Amino acid sequence: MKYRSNLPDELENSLRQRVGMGGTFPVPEGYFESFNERLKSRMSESTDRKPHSHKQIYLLGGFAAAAAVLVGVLFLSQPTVNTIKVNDNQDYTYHDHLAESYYSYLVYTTSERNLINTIDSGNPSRNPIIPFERSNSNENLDPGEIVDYLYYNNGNVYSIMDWQ
Amino acid sequence: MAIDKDQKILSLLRRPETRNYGFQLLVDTYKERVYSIVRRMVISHDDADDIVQEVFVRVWENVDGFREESSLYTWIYRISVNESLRFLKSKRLKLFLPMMDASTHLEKLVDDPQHFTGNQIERKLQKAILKLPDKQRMVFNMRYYEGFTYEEISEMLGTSVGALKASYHLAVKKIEKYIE
Repeated sequence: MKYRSNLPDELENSLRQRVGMGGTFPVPEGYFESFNERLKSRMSESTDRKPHSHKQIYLLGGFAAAAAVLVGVLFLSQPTVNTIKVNDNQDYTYHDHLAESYYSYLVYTTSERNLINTIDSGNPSRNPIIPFERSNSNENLDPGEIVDYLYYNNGNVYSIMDWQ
Repeated sequence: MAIDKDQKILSLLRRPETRNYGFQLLVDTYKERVYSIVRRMVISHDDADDIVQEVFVRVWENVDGFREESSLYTWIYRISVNESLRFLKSKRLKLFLPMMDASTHLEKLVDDPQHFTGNQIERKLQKAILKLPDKQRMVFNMRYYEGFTYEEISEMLGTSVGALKASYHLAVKKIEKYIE
């Protein structure tokens, strides 16, 4: 299989062909024409804003302290085991978030050589796209290359997590 | 050329006698683009209007400190990005919403013709975009809709080009998967 550095563009083009720009967000008529006037009055309001007096600050401090105590009581009254509500949407984003953090960590903190060796050793049945000689050279890889490599070798990035 | 216009705006803003005119020119030049960036993030027109005004208030308040280490337009868009993300975060905190519930809340707005008009597949695309984490959604919108280069987005978000490419790539894949 040949290495493809323009994968994101290909995916983007495919998406554009299927759904185009995807609808519009309607803007009230005359909105931009009247914007400057409304901005002007907002700016004069913000210049007129007065700083809090000492009395107000003490009151705010009192409210903040009361809120902190309330939150603390509520927190302590909860069970200590976290529960995760399972539904498709939540699962989707929760795992995406985890995978992305981990993925970024791998791509940007691990040397390319270690990254590729780790992946290859984790799944020896697959043929590496990047030749062995290259993965052992000191040549720097473009992050885009790594992304393509991971994509074509793994199908999805979540499986990388299982290999560590 | 945008950069020439930015230079003109900046030189007007630097002189007290032309400062107001310079700001007016700046607002006229950028209000629609800023609105577009913000609106795609918050969906509701009223929220977008509030944030866009806040963006220009901040530009006005901080333009004296702008050292031209980046171009004017990336600076303005960076403020727009930050204000949008800040708004979403504070809304979530105010309503005690976890990320998914906030996304569901925005998806409901997409179902309302007052906030979004499009056919079924276009609506589905918007909902798929709303399922992305905020920052990834921003990267996707900046690239897909606004047509910024990775280098420009990198300057706006303070993230490396490589990380942005990876983020965008993942975003497109997730969206493709959702609308299949």
